[in-house]
Amino acid sequence: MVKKLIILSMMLWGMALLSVSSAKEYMIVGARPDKLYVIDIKARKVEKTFTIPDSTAPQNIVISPDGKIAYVGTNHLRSIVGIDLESGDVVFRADLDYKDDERTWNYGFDISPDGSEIYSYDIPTKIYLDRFESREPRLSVFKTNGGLEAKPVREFPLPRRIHLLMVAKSGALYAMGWDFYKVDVQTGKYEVAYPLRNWTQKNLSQPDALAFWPSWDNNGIFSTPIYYARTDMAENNMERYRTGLLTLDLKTEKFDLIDFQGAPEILFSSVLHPNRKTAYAAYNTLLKIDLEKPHTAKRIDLNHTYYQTDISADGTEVYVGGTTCDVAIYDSTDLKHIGEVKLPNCPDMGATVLRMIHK
Amino acid sequence: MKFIAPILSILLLTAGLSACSEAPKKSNVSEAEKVTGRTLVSDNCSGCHMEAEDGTFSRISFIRKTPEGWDMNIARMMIFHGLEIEPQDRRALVKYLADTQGLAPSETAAHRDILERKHNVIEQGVDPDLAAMCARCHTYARVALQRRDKAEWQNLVHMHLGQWASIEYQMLARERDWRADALGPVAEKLGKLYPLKTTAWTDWQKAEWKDMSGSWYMVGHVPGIGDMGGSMTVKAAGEGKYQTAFNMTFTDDNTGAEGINLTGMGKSIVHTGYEWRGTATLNDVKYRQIWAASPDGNRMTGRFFKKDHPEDGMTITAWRNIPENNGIMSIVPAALKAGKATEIVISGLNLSGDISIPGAEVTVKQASDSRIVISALAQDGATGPAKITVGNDSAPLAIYLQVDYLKVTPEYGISRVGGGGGPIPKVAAQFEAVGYTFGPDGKQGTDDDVNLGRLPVIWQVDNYSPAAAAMQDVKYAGHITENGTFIPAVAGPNPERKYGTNNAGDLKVIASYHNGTRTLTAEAHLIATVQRWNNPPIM
Ligand code: HEC
Ligand code: HEC
Repeated sequence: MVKKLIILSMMLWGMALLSVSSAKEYMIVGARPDKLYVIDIKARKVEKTFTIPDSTAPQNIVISPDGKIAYVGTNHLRSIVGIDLESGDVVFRADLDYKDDERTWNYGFDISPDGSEIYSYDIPTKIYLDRFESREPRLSVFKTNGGLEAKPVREFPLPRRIHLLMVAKSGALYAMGWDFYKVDVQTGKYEVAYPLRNWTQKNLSQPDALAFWPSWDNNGIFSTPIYYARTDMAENNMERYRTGLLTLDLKTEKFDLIDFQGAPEILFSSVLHPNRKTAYAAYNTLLKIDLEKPHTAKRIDLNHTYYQTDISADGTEVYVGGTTCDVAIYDSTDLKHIGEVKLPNCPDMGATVLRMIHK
Repeated sequence: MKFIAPILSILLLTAGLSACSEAPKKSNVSEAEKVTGRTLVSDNCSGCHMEAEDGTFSRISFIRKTPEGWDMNIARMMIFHGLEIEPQDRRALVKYLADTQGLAPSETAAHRDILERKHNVIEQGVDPDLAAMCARCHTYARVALQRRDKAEWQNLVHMHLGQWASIEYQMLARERDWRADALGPVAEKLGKLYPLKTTAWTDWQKAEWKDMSGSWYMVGHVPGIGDMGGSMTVKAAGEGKYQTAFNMTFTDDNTGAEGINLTGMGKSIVHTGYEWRGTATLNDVKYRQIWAASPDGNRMTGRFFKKDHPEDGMTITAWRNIPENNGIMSIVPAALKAGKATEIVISGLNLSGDISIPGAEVTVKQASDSRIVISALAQDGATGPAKITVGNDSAPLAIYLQVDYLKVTPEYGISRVGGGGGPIPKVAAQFEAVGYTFGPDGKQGTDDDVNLGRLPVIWQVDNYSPAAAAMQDVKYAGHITENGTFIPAVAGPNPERKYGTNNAGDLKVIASYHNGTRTLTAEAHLIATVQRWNNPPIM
């Protein structure tokens, strides 16, 4: 029995390795009002363009674990639409205003490791004839086989102001907001897994981080730039204003905070190299961050603002996208611009996320 | 007891009599307007806002707003809730609601700059917590120009939470529990500061709201151009509406030269008994007036500005031409350099009598009862505060030896990129350089410094900070004219610029004044920023 398990796990491991090395890598992005693109990233080519019915602005994208379906958050946070990445067929749809008298926004969703459930953080407002009533947010759980008018199968209250959900390999749900919460998706019980609002870091002010970017596809680790001040340093010392990377390993479920630079610089997103020795962060600039020192090893100016940072599975290429209609590609060692992909007819990517898949 | 009864009955009787004999006070809002107004609310709003047995309509009857506030409210009903209403009904509703549920003059006084669409206003004295909570997307005036109790402030917070998904996530909100704070302490505070029922409003409803027709004299200042004097003739057109005719003359306050004449006709309406709103076409350009009448109805102040460029306009004082209104309204310039013959224009109403400046020789060059032009010469070496006297009235004037320093106003200006094929025009920023003397104490920046008025200067712009220099803001953000008007560059991303950014910039505006052998300079800060995509009546 034990032996069997080992063999099985070796097989799985081998398969996983195989799938990375032989399968082709694709990037999935969206654009306003209703487009979803499959990009052959190494070929620098848009391979497929899908139209999402009844959509205004794709933002979050979550890929099913088998890489076959993209669940796209659109309609200004009010719909989740599942698109088959081969055929473009709509295989799932949850329009969150499913309760007649409610207007509901989705501020993040993710999928269970077995692909059967979607966890959505919903903020409802009850609409009366002559007034609104803002309600408490909740976790809504949808079955991915719920069809085109999917309704939640479970609902649990959650704290306000959560902005990003991620599911760990174990199936535990993590939610980033005032604090980082760990949520039991069966019972709705949650606990603070990593305090932010009331963190206990010595001599550090309350941190600020508003992360929307899932950049863990090729490295298994969530990361985001996070800002705080050193309360033990003089007010006029610009080094007082610190930037760190907050990370959550989605396998070990360990958090880490890596302080890497002083002086304010706007960075929207970050991604770790699969070797986890370097990281990249972007907004107007692209930074290469040495995580061992830790310090900013290199900084270049980007051609324009980009929101999300991502990386190829082999760690050779860094991608920046969002805001306009191009994905810019940089060499991960020296940050040399080595390519780009322009979306056809230059649509507005806005705040769409980038996802990496292999097939 | 025996005596008291008859006395009491007599007292009661006379009290009753006097109530009867006194002509029933005419209500400011006619019965007809009330009936039409209620019908309009009932026809247009009662589908969603239920009428209660006491005749109130849910939500609507429990809030007071300015005319602009009501108009924006109806606009939201149309855009967000699908209300369909004819333009003339919308105007009539605004009038009815502003007349019956408006703000008293004293309740709007602190926030007129915003109502008047003044540019570059930095709101002063706002409670910092209310500013962080409620004045980061719009002005604080938008909040402070409404009256309602706590429960209605809470309803407004719920509307915000249900309308803007990101309201709790933005900077200045996300570090706190915005919703709990807004529904709790903030609503509580606003309900106390700005409650529905106030004596100011009850008193104003009882006061007599005056008819505005008659002839008015106006003075005003156009930054960077000069001063204006002129007349406005007002004819009543019924239902609070008026027809207007204008005739204005501009004087360059540096040279005293009479400049252009602006003439034309317009239409106005008065809301809430004192909120004067007008449109006019002057020399073929469309203008708007947002003025307020004094409680006695005999004076008005406010702004007259170009309809398409609200930033381009003047602040006006207008007096009704009646015998009680007599005296000096403005003096241009209000400073006289010792030893130099200077032309001074005195504007006012019903001016008569001797004209003199103690310590200076005065020659009258032109005189009417509203405009007097003199040439004045103060003795060489004279200095200090003086006054100009016309008959029984006088106004302060400064006699000075030299300009000691300059100030640029506004100290902090904003321009906005525009044009470039886009729908939004550029918004220029106008600067002026004002001269000062140190005053008797010989020190700069003290209370006794004397304002010498606008000076002719040379204008320049430069990068405000090292970051601006690195981005070469001065090269891309725009240019300044010889009148101190900063004209911003076109809108849209500029591929020539680093990060392909737009033509925004962080600049300083520098004025230099050559005074014989000395050159004085002064600076202001200019933020050349991006367009505003919507320009609501109350920013
Ligand atoms: C189709 C339904 C509908 C109609 C018709 C409608 N309203 Fe409303 N009204 C609402 C709703 C919903 C709200 C609450 C959300 C909001 O404030 O936008 C509201 C809110 C209000 C408020 C409170 C706003 C505040 O400042 O808090 C006022 C006042 C109001 N409406 C006035 C009117 C008037 C006047 C009319 C008619 C000209 C009208 N409404 C017609 C639906 C409607
Ligand atoms: C996220 C930006 C934002 C914040 C923060 C905000 N507002 Fe507003 N507010 C708006 C916008 C946008 C409108 C215009 C709504 C419309 O179109 O009618 C508005 C409208 C209003 C109005 C006019 C509503 C009417 O119909 O007359 C008032 C009053 C107001 N806000 C008060 C407040 C108060 C009080 C707070 C703080 C508790 C606040 N606002 C905070 C964005 C904001």
